[in-house]
Amino acid sequence: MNVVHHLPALLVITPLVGACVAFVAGRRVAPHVALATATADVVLAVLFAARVLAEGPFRYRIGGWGAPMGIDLVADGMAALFIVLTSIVGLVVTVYASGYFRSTDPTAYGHGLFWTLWLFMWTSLNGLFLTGDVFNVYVCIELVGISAVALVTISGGPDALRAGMRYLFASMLGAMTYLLGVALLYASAGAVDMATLSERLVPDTTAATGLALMVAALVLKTALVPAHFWLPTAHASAPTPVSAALSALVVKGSYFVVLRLMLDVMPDGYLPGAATLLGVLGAAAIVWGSVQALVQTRIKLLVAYSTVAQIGYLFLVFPLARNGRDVLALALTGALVHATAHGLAKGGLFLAAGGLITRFGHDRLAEMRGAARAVPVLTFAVALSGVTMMGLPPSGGFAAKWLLISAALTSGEWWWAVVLVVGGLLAAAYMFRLVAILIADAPAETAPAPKPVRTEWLPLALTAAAVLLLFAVPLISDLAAASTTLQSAGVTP
Amino acid sequence: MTPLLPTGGGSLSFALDSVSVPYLFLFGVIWTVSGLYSFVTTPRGARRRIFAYYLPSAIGGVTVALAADAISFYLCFALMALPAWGLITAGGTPEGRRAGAIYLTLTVIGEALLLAALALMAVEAGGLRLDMLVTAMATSPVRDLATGLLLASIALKIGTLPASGILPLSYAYAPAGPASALAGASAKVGALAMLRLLPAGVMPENWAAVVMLAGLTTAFGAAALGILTTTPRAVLGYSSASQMGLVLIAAGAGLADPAAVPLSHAAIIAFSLHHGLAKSALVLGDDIVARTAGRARSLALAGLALPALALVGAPLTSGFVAKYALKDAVYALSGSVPHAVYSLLPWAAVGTAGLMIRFFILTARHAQVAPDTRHRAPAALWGGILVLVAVTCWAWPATWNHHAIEAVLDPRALLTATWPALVALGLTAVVRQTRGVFARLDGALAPGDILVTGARLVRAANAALPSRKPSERVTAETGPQAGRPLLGVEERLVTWVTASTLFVLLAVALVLLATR
Amino acid sequence: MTVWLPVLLPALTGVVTFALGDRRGTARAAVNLVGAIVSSVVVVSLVIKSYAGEVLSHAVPTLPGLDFGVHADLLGLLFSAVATVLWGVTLVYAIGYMDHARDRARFFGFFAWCIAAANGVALAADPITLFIFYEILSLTTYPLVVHSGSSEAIAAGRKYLFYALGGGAALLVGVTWLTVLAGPVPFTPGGALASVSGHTTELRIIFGLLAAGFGVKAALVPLHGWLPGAMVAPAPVSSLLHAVAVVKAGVFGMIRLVNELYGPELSSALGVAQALAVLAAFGIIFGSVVALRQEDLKRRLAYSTVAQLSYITLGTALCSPLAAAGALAHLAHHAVMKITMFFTAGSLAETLHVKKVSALPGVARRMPVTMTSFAVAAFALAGIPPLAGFASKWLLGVGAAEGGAPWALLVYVASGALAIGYMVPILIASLRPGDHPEAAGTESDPRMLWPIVTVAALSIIFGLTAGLPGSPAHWALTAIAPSFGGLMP
Repeated sequence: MNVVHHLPALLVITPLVGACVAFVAGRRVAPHVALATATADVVLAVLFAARVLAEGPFRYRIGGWGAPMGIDLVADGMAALFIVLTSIVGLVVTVYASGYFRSTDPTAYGHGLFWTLWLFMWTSLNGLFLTGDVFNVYVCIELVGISAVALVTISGGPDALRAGMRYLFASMLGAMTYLLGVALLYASAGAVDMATLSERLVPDTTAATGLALMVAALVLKTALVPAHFWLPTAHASAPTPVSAALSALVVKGSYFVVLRLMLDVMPDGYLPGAATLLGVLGAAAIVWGSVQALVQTRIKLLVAYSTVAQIGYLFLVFPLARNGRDVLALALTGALVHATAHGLAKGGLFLAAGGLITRFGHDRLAEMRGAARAVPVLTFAVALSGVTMMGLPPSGGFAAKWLLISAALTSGEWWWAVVLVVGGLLAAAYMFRLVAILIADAPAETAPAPKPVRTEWLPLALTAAAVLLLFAVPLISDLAAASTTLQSAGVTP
Repeated sequence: MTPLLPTGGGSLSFALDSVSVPYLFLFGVIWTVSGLYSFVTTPRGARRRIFAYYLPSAIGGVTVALAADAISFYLCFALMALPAWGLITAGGTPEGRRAGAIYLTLTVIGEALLLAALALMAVEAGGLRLDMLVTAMATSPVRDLATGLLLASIALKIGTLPASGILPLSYAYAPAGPASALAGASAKVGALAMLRLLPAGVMPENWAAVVMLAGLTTAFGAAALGILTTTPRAVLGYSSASQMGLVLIAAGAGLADPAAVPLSHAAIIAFSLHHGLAKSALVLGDDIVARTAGRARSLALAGLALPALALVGAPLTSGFVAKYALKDAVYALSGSVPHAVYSLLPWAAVGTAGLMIRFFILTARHAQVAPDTRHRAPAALWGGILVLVAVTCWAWPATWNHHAIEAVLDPRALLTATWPALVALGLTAVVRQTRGVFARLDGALAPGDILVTGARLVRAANAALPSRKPSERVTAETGPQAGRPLLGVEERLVTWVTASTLFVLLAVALVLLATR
Repeated sequence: MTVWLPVLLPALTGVVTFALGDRRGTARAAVNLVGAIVSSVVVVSLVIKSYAGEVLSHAVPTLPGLDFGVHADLLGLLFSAVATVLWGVTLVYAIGYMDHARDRARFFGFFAWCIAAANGVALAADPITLFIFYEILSLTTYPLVVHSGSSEAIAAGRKYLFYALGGGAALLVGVTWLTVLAGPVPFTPGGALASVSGHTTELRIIFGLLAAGFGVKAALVPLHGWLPGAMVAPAPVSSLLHAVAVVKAGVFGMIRLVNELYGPELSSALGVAQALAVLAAFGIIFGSVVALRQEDLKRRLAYSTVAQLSYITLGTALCSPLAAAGALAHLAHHAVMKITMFFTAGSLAETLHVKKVSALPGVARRMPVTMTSFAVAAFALAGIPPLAGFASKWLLGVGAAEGGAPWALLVYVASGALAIGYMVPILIASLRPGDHPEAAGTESDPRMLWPIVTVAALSIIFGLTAGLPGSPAHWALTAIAPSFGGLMP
């Protein structure tokens, strides 16, 4: 019985156990339980990634039954990357949350419940990244959705409830559509295991419709424009640690499944129009999200719309992926680097925004002038996250943009490069609007009394990691090469 | 490539040759005398201000004679010309400042042109030595360009029309001592540049013709302008411009015909010596007259007659020698233009004579300033210069004064040298009789004539242009106002109905694309 | 790894400065000065190694096929040395200037990071690394531009970023495209694109993108709009922006682009160098003429910078060895000359609250040493021998003639004349009598005075020693020679 051998299972089980213990332990002990769980999960995630790098992709059969009867977990580089990202951001969010909830009224939030829900969501996310069949995806995505909705509404305020209802609606609508798609697919191909599906898939109407519905559902869950309607309010109304987790991790979960479906399950040339449509919508998301971020008057909404924009980049990979092996490798690596960079930077940005809100007691941008002098570390964190959003070196955002532009130019589809460049400039516009307000010289008399912000170094750590991500790109590149997608395409690491 | 790099102090080279000796003599004498003169006539408190500009100018002005490579030549050229601005503006009057500004502008442009020419020539020659530069120019493809640049630069220095105002401007406002240095030495650096840099005997004929005509035009035009001005020193300035026109004729003579080069160079040297000393003596004399009264004043006016007559080219004066050298140079050429120039040369002397008469009239009108108790020292210095004016050209050990020495006793030559002065006297008498007609013209021009007018025009044009406003201030909070419509669109997008509809449309689109 | 030190040391200095916070002023000053001195020593030792023919290099692998690498060649070290040494001088000045200012930790921290980024630009071994540091430079400069936090500063900062990021975007596309087309292209004297045949249209477009990217920082007209506005920054920043790090990063990029990426031969064969030359020539005249009309002292200096930077670009674009060397030498010379002027402008504004040319009368009497230093720099800038500006302008002029572009020579001399036109009125105005109540000869804080005197002395020394090994001019000739296939000096 080797621990290393059972890593995939442990990654799912550990947070689940943590969630149960936290539920039982009560609100004083729960934070410690969560911290211990998070730390353990980081260790497991790193070990898991190391194993995938060493051995390449492998399948883990729960209970040793195997597909099609049992549940198979697929361990590859892509999964490992997202799991490591989840564990790192998750750990930081956990630490932040322990301070965040301690400094607020203990009765206002159902914060004993927070830890349980949060660890439960973590479990579902890990399961989502590891699962190898489309039905389990449905299960995990439902669990993620429900726990996320609960987390959004945990404060119980009217805004949060309204946003939570909207989120719940979107989540349910997506889940139902997805399930419909799975049913159609199963009717056509007779399997739900992804590997089996990719072998059995024939271009008939039933299968194609099923897949299209699944993709549509996931697009809704990922909040790609125009299906982004639920995201800004949900992310903005949630408590700060939840916002960070939602923006940094949860949307990546459904995106991860889109990657699996579009690149692994579907053979080359399947649903060509869908790939183009996703690319176009990605471009639209970049523009529309950025423009909206530019005109927002509340800091969290600005950050949330920035997420809408940044999600757009992730979808540019699909049209590019059709241009042969080399471009696929470039584009997929680019998308993965972007997802990682955005996860770190957006997590840090939401935490920093939360710190600012705590500091000022409100979230109105116009009244945050001069924050730089009061909370320099938070301001710096905001600025650093801007570096990644804009795609400036040496951030991960830059590396991603570089790879995607290279892919676009190599494939000859140069217009995606234009989108990428314009997107970077738009991001610069909204991020610097934010930074400019923070560093503006505020008249002394309107400066509010200082409130202690204890956890201000955490966002800085996350955003600094995002800014220095360029130096970790070789690692991400190796992980991408160890993904089932690139392995089956014949790319050697 | 090495020699093309200016290596700073260590690589500047200086040489003493047949060209540098007369110029070293001329510049040395003039800068020394004017320096001493400034020292004794300037009140103690003002000395520091004057000499802060005077000394660098003098150092540049003297060493330029010795410069043997492009860098040191340019360095000395600039060192002399730029601080002179401080001398011109030393009076602190608005006119003086304006004159200084115009002077500086023209000087800087002239220097820029010179630098351009030097750089071109240095590349062609692959070195920096002046003699190499000139030799290399003979066969170079950029010969015409370099020569054009050089001539333009020299023209600005010596006040060739239409830039003739630069000389009266630089004379009129500086204190007498520095002004005499500028009068004697400044434009002569231009003459030195002609000798050192202009290609000799290799240019096409028409170049020579154009240059000579430009010189001739200036000789007449500057004289005409000078007669209309109202300060003695401005008159002297125009006279210099007119005389330097003659030097330009001499330079033009040597451009095309190799045979005429020695004569042309001789004429330039002769004219420089003659005119430098005489003009310097005139400026100082003008100041002496202003400082004296009674008999001393009459004596001073009499003393002034010597350099004045010399400029007109009267027999037995240095001007007589210089004119002969010039005539020899032009005479040696064939062609219609040189012939025309040759026959018109004596008439230029009429203009000069007119200028000198005008100068005398104005000087004699000088209101006397309180006699300086120490006027003996200035007078002695002036006397020294006068002696040199009388002697130098005749005694100079060279060949260019031989012809004049032979002609001293030739009555025809004497008559040729005298009649322009007589004509000028006659014309003056006529003018004085019909004063009413000319009264309006009297003093029609400020020193600097068209240059001042030009400067006024530039200023007026500048004032008419809309001035640049500081960039519009945009506050950081303009976003929401500007974005209100966008926010509205987004609000509609995220309503339940719209959102659901959009999602269904998206799903349908995907399905349609998938099953097509 | 030694070769990373010029980047890492200032970066570390910045980190320590931030960590020290706003209160510990003495410690901050000590840390920064030590950082600057140690960095200078490191750069000088690299220079000595490089002169001896040993070019250190090191690369960190990042993206597949792309290394993040630096190399200590003479060309880069010239810029690096200028930035590092003048950083030390500017620090002393800034410590005096910012004596009572707020947010000094932020100021000095970003200041150090700027230098780190500039050194990175200088030593970058390939276009990608250069681009990375170029963008970092844009970002680290922004907080300095908006340092005061006034709405004017914020507006100027926004404009700066708008330009800088736009340029960065062009650069990114250009570099990516070039890499896709030609594979990795480390800077190679004489050009790195020998392997590319054909693709002339693409190469032209890429050159345009890269030149536009560098042109923003190099204030190449019409991309210069940010520079005059960025004058709202504190004087040490203006000095840094306009004289040392930022704008020079732009022209340095141009130098790398023409000499070591495309190579002079290919650049002129494609016709792109000629186009760039025409643009730069226009910039020279435009900047000079506009400078004539500026009443605000710093704005006048800013437009002068626009013109002077185009000098360097033009010299580079002429594709002649002497002009290229002159351009590189002017990079160093202009740095010392312009930094003198900005220091002076800062001293006048801080000590006497004089910001306009019209307010200058009496200043020369009040601060004779400061104004004498300014005069030296002004004359050097106008190219009066034997000052520094003359040496580089001579090389540029001779190079223009050599490169078969006598028209460029005329542009150079015309602008020299114009430089007198906009500089001398400043001197004249300061000499006029005016009333400044304090006694004549009262200079500003010695910590501001001595740096001014030092940099002014450098403008003299660089001119006088122009032919000696180790002087910027000689160094530039040595550094540029390999791009033209041979040894020059």
